[in-house]
Amino acid sequence: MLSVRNISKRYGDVVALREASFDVSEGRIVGFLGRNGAGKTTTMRTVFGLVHPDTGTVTYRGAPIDAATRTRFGYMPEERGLYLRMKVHEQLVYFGRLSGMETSDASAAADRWLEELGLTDRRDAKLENLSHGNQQRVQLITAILHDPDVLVLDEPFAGLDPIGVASLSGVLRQFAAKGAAILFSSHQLDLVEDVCEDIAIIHNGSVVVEGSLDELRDQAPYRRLEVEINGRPWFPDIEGTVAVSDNGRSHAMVDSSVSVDTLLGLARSAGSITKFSFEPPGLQDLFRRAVGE
Amino acid sequence: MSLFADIRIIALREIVERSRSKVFRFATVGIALVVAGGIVALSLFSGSSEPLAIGLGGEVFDGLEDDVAMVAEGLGEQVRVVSYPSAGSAENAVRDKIIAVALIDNVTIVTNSGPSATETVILTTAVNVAGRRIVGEQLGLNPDEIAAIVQPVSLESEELDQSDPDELAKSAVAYASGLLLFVSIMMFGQFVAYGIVEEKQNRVVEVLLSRVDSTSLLVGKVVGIGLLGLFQVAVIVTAVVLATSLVPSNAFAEIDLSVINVGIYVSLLGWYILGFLMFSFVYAAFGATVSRLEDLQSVAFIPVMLIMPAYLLVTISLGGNISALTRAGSFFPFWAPIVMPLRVVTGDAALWEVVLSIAFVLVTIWLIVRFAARVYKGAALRTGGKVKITEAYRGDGV
Repeated sequence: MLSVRNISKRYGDVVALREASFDVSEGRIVGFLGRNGAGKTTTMRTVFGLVHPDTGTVTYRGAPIDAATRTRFGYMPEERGLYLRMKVHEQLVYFGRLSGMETSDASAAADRWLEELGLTDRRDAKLENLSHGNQQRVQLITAILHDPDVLVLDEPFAGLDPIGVASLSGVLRQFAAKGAAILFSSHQLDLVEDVCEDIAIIHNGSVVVEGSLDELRDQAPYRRLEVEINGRPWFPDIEGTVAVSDNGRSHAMVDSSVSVDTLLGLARSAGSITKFSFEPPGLQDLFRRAVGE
Repeated sequence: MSLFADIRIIALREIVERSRSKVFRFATVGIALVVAGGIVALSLFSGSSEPLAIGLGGEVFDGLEDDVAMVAEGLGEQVRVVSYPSAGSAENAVRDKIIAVALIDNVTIVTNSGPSATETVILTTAVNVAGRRIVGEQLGLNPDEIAAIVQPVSLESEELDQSDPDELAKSAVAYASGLLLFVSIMMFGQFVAYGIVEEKQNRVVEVLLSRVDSTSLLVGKVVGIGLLGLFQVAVIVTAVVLATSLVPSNAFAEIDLSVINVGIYVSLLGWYILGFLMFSFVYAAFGATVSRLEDLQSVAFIPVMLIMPAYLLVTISLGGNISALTRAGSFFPFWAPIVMPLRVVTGDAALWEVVLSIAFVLVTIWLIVRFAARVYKGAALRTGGKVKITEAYRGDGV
């Protein structure tokens, strides 16, 4: 288990992290969510010793992370960067070797991943001659080439086309199935909902929500209600109800203690029901609540 | 993974990738050809066709001027003979290098640092020829009769410059190796700095730093680029040696390199490598402090300024007169690789002084690496805007 405990970090007057804590368990994919500047990248960098927290610890399997442990980690930084003039395969072997692999193992692993991601024909091309999407794929391979036990990916889905998204999701599931602990950040909540079992939401440097997505949805003290009466959005007159507008569609957040029967009764008395949906909140709702929107 | 394994992998990539570039290949071959060609051209168009200037001063035989010219012609040497009104004026002309050699009072050959074999033969023969001619004219004897009574005379030699010619050779070699170091630093230091900034600019730095520490990264790059630089210098030096051995050149004839033993050459090479390494790290440190290639231009001159005073110290001490200032300067790490070799070749430095000076340089390299690695890591992950060196060093960025 990768464990982030109470890490804080200040840059002058700016507080980047405030007692942030969360865990990434073996075999789980954790979606790391937060608004821009919430502290996602800073947190991920602490895992690799790129940022030293002022206080708090980051441990793996209960021990502090040293250079030897880190060779079992894979990292894809938000700032993508590779050697533009280097050939794809040679570049992958180079990074594999820096992760402690033998040249022959790194070479074989590079060929295997290039094939899996459909890049075999670009093996000996210079990186600068690859399309943006293919460069992204190469960047991903540098992070996973050495078959890491921990994967930390900062915005891995950014800039990928639907095919790229599907193959990256496949890779993440493949690693999770092998028992790797995976943490990735994203702003694409639908994607996170699709790929992740667990989430951690960071807001103003603190992790405000953490846990299994299903449990968080079920345990939320509110439900998502979407009702239309005669084709128009309808909101019940119950205390604590919040109306939410999302891309022109409206729904309401209702306290979870309110029963479906009560809501149905109120709706019927308002007119003819043309739509009724009452369910646990989606990730979108959890996120909005967590970051106070 | 061990530090050395990381450094080796990083250095190897630098060597392989850079040596593949066409620019590197053309530059290496091009510079070697230009330098070698320049030496050949220089020897063809100057020096060798200059006639030997011989001065005559004091009491000399009548007509000696013609005898010198005749003897020289017989030996196939081109000479220019100048008569001076007094011994003093002829000596001054030698001292001022207007003429190479002067004959004073038919007896003494005056040169700065000893006459060449050719000069001795020409003058000795000419004096004997003139002497016999005059004796023959005055006594009315034929050449055989003269030969019977006049014994051949030999001439004395007087050297104006009392400094040891061996010292000159040693100083020249030390100076040349210092100059080579300076030129190498100018040429390759910037490559190191560019190489360091490059990874920040193309953003590969975060991928690298998640795998290796910044010290290995910097040392690996310096070693890789440094070895390539040394290779290029070796190619150029080889071209120079070949070119000078191919052409007869007067410029090198005065310096007898055989007075310098192999140990001294090894020590010069050692100092060269030490100096090259240290200044490569200086450039690496400057590379670490800037985030864009454009910003590098404004700091690239600083290492050059740093090393300049060493040349003054060496220049004032040429010929073996090592001053106290020069001795002190040979312990200053940034000057030691230039100044200490001069003291070593001239035998001025005791072993403990050399060891101490090397220790200073090594400590300096260590400090520079630590500083550069820390600043590099501190500044590398900050994007947008310039990062103050002090901030980067304190690690505000990390």
